[in-house]
Amino acid sequence: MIPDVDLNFYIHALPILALLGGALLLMLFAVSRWLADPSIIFISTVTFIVGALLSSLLLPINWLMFDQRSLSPFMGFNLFNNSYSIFGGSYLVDGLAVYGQVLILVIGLTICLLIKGSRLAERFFRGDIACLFVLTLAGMAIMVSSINLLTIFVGLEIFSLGTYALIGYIEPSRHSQEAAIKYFVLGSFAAALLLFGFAFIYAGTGSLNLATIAERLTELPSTNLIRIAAVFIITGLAFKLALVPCHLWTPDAYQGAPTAITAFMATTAKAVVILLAIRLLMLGITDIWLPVVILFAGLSMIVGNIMALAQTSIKRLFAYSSIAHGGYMALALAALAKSPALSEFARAGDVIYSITYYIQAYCLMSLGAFAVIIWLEKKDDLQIDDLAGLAKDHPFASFSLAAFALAFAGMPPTVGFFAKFLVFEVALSAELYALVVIAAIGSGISFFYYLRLIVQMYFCDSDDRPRLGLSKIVATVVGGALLMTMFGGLLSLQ
Amino acid sequence: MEWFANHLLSTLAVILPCFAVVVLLLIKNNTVAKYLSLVVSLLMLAIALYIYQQFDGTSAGLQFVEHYQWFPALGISYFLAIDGLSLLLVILTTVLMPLLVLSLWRSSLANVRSLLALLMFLQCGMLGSLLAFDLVLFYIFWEIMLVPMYFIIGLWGGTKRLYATTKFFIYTACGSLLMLIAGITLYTLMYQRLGVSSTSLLDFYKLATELGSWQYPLLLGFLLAFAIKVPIWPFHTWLPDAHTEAPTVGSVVLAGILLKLGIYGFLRFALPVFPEAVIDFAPFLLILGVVGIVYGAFTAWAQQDAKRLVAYSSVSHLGFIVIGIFALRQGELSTIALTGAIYQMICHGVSTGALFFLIGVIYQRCHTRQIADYGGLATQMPIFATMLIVATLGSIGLPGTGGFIGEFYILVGTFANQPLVAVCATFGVLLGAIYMLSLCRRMLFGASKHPEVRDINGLEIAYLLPLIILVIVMGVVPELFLHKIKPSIEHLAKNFRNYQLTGTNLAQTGVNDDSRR
Repeated sequence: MIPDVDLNFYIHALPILALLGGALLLMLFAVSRWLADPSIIFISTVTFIVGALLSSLLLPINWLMFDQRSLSPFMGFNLFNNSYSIFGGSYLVDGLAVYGQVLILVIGLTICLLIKGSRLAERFFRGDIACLFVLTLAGMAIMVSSINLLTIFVGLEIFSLGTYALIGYIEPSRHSQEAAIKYFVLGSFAAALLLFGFAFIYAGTGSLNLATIAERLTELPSTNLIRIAAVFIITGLAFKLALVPCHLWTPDAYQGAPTAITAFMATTAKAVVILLAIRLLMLGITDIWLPVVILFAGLSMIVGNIMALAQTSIKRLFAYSSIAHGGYMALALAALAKSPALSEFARAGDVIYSITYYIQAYCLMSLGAFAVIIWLEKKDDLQIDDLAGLAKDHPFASFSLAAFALAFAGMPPTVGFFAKFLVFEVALSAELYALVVIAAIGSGISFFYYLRLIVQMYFCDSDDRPRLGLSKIVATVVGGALLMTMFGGLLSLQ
Repeated sequence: MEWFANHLLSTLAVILPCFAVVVLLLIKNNTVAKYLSLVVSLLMLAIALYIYQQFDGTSAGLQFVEHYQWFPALGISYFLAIDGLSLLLVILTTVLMPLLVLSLWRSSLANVRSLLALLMFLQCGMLGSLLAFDLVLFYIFWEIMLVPMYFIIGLWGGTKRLYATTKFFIYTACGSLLMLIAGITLYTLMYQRLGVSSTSLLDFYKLATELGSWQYPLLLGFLLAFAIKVPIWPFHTWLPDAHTEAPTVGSVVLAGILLKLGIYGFLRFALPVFPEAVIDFAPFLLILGVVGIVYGAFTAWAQQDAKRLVAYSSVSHLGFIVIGIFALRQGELSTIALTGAIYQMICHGVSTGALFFLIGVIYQRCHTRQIADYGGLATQMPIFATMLIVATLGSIGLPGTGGFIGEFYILVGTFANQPLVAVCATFGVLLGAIYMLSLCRRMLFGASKHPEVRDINGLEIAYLLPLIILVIVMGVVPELFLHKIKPSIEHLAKNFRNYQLTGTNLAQTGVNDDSRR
């Protein structure tokens, strides 16, 4: 049956249509003699993303009443009383979808600005690469606005393939290509696991639509088929989220990729997969998901924090720290897996609120920290020792990096603290005491390596460092992220 | 203006210090920075004294309450208030600040402007922790204290400053994490048991009777955080390093106020929220307190470094305060010991602050902290010598100084409840006299090692004299300081097993089930 495609569809699909159309146009620009100019490409890329962002913000007419806390029990499907679904849930606009789209597009826009201010600008704003970037965003947007497993998978693949290419293609070098290949091989492996899991789910329930699957699962007794599917799915997600022990690609990929792309991977990729995990965990196959998620969370918090201690490269340090932060998010996911999804609606809403708060805080801090790194790095990989004495000649950069490091460590009154507070709160409410203690130990360890950055910048003496020119765009991004990191938390909770 | 008059505590703890921090970071001129800090800190002192004058000394309730919903859905509120337990510490904090600014007036330290900004930020954290009655707000201020102190030691400290400051930060931050987890658990339990989500301390007091066996693990979390801050033996090892490596202002703030906040935490959180667990844990804490007294004293005796000696003496003196608080018998607190503990906090802040200032003064002249490098200073620096002896006597607790009143109250109160503990602790007094007087003897008398050293100048007298006078005034007229805080102490001592606080202007705390979900 072909559904009735009317004006309503175009309104609701506008963000994705804008991105896809933009990608096509950018591709055309690449072959045009007149339009292949980097500044034109930059302006049009930004225009497409802003357009998608605006249309996404306008999606729910009542978006001002958007209340994450009251995310509805059922995967947030009914967040807006008139959530929109077409093609049997293949494309669906609900609270989580709008939230995801806005988050992704804001980050995408910021990344564009960062690249514009970095030495990559000339290479990045070519028709083909900009097209790839916009397509990646489109893939992510599709992924968060669907409850059909196949569509979700297609979205995932679009954004994954785009990311692999972005890592290796912008600035081809041995390191970046190694990173791209590593990420590609393990990423495809993860995608295969995920697809395998989806197939099992289909075999077990006969449906690809999450809403139908949830209904069938409440009727069926939990079978081994579903359990196997659940384990495959969660492992695939863990690969994408870089949870231990599926994290091995992360440090190399983060280190080898151009820093702006590292920032892109570290933020958006994590965000969309977390949002997908929320949708899937709400299915409530609790008996098998809970132990697996607890295992991933605990290992990530321990291994991520301990390995970060030993790093000398800043990007690797942030890679391990992002693994640890993935662990904190998985802690909240465990709370979600534990809250019996379909009976305790309100509780699940709280947990989802804490996860979304954490992910947006994490994205904010990461963007800020990577922006500082983009500003400071010269040709090669920035080492922690290179920061020595930075405070003397670059007070703003060092102040910002110190603030982001403390925010990552969860010091109040930064957003990092409130994020941690919320996650600990839901985890303790779900009675995951041992896991919270592990999280606390991990946080305690994390002070060591975050402080190392500050020690280098403030307490060590510098060798002569040429004064780095500050791109105005990067400075704006850093300043904005700094203000929001430091004071946003005080105003943010609902 | 009227707004400020109605929000005195916010003005004192948040607005003035934060305003000063921002301006200090923006201006480039060190002289302007000094004048600005002095004016702001004097203004804060004036406000604190005005609060003291207006404080109703007959009530045990909260006064000057500012209570607003902050994050209503979570039950977090912006809640500042003052009562008898925090009153004197607030005064002490604001008294020390102008003196710290004066001590930096002709300082040779680099970048005094930033140091002043950090001190102001620290001030915000300390006053906020003393005034906050909401757990989240308290935690925010509590952690805010950590960062400026970290930078003060790390940037202006001695040769081993990196080691000292990292150790300080990590010890304290790990303690705070435990407190955070215990606090959040309390918050979730409150929702389970009372059906209310709130982080207001007043609601935690109501929860106390509902906690049951949860009291024990939760008390441990809070206890560790506070014990590290105090520090109670065996969590004290960060203190000598931090004290020794910190610049003079850092040591003064650390000894004067930061350490007291751990004790304040015991009084504000541990006793009223976990009374049953405290009763069971008290014997262990008493033992740790006594061990701290004796161990601190013996270790201080063996020190060659003047600052380290005073640092260990702090461990010993804080042991007294700890036994004063936990001297329970059959589940009853001793009002006298508790009064002594609070009074001793202030006296220790004043006398140890003065001692660190004095060591700073002499260090500036001779650039050594080794006691053996000094001698015969009494003849060359008579004013310095007089002040050092007064501060030392105050620290020992000679009758006529504040230290005597504090220790006497503590020992009398403890003896009534726990005679054995009091007897052991009394040895600490004796040992204190030995090591402190030997410090004086070795530095002030004997052959002169630095013939051309000059006596302290007018500026140094200006910031030392108030403390020296306070040491004596506190010993002669204790009633002047105690008469306003008695009701609060008695209320805590008598009712700590069913502790409730009231006050005017309280907003609705907490959210119940319906409005939250």
